[in-house]
Amino acid sequence: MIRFQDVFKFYRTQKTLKIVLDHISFRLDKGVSYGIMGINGAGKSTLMRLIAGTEMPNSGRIVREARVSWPLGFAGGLHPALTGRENIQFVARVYRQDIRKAVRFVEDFSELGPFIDAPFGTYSSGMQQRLAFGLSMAIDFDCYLIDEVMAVGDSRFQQRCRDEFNKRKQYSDMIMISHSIELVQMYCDRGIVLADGKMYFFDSVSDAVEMYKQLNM
Amino acid sequence: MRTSFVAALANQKAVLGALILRDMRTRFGRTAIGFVIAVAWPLTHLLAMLGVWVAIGRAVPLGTNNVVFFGTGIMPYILCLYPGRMMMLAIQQNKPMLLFPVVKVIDIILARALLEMITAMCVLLAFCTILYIAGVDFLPNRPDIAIAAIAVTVLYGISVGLLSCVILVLFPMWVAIFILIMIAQWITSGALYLPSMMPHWVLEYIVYNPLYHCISWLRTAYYDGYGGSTVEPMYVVQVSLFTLLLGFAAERAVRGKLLMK
Repeated sequence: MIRFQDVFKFYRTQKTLKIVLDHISFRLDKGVSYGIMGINGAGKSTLMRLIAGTEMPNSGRIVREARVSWPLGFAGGLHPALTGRENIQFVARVYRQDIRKAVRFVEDFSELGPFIDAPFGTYSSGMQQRLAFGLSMAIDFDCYLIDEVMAVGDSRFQQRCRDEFNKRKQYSDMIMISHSIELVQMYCDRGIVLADGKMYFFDSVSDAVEMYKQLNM
Repeated sequence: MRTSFVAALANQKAVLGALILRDMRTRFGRTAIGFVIAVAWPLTHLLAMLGVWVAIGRAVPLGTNNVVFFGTGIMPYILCLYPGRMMMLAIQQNKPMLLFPVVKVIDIILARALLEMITAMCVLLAFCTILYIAGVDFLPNRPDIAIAAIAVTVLYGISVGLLSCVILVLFPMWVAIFILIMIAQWITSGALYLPSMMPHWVLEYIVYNPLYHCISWLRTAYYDGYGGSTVEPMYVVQVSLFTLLLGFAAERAVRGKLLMK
């Protein structure tokens, strides 16, 4: 469960003040997957970072009673000078996972072959994404964050990502940002629309989609 | 995540352990000898300075052994400067790790502090070993005081570094100011002369320099009756603890900014 208590979040652009969350309180329940929709610039990705805890609110409290992932497929925290294997070992250590099991899983899943022992910085962007994706699957998160990217690589690998993800969905929840109405409808139980610093909650995804469509008009 | 105290402690241990390992591996590029460089750098600095001052061969104002007089002056400076500087760069160098939600700013700071203590210990051991092999009698009369003085010196360096690493994220200029402060402390520390030879009005200012007390305290472990009433080890401890407090408070106050920059 993740609780927001009177959360206020803004950021400054060149001249304007952008309010992402205007003193908002809500609760994301365990066992439910949420789809977050909103027009470009509504602050969806900022909201995601607040949920993950990699950014702080300007005021208010965020309480996490679940282990939340970093945004899926995101490779920013991996060190370019360390090999793929060393990066996996680091993340497995930090999250207290069986290190050898994690390495074996990613080795098998990400299909990096001998590159697993090459510095991460020498990887192609596709390989980086594959490693990052495999890594987030190797760790038992209670809740996966998905910021647009659900699957990486070529179409065969993307299928592999989706298959693995569907397995995961049995034990883990997900919070998904997507402009794809289809994806949200396929994976999410409830919908949230973020607009003008406010959050609108819908018990059915299709109601959220309806509002999102109106915002786009 | 709401967890029991024991589980939280185990999590903390896992994160710190992983961060220290990663820090050791990545600090000086991707080399297996990265940590050796981390020790060799301050050690070389220390030996080179000591070598120069001993080679000049000036008569030292205390005792008969040049190596001991200059060694007890230069070593605390090095063991304060390097931990301080590396602490200052902790957040800047390890920023990407904050993208893992489980890693907090405070973890990076604590991991670096622990690693700096280990590094300082290695520098000290290597330094003493080299002097022993070179046949220099560098053993203090009071090892207990010497160890306490060095420990407090490292603590002081880390406390200044902690505050600096928070300031640095907000003001990139701070590196230059930090170095200036360190140089000013070095000059007024009495490492190369005896502060008691200074006019009284100068000494009145020197006693505010924590490094002066670090060096003088260490020298009391080597020279009987040295220092007298002006050496106050507790002053360094108080300054360090206050600076640590200030550093942690500053980290908490600007944590949001540290994450975003």
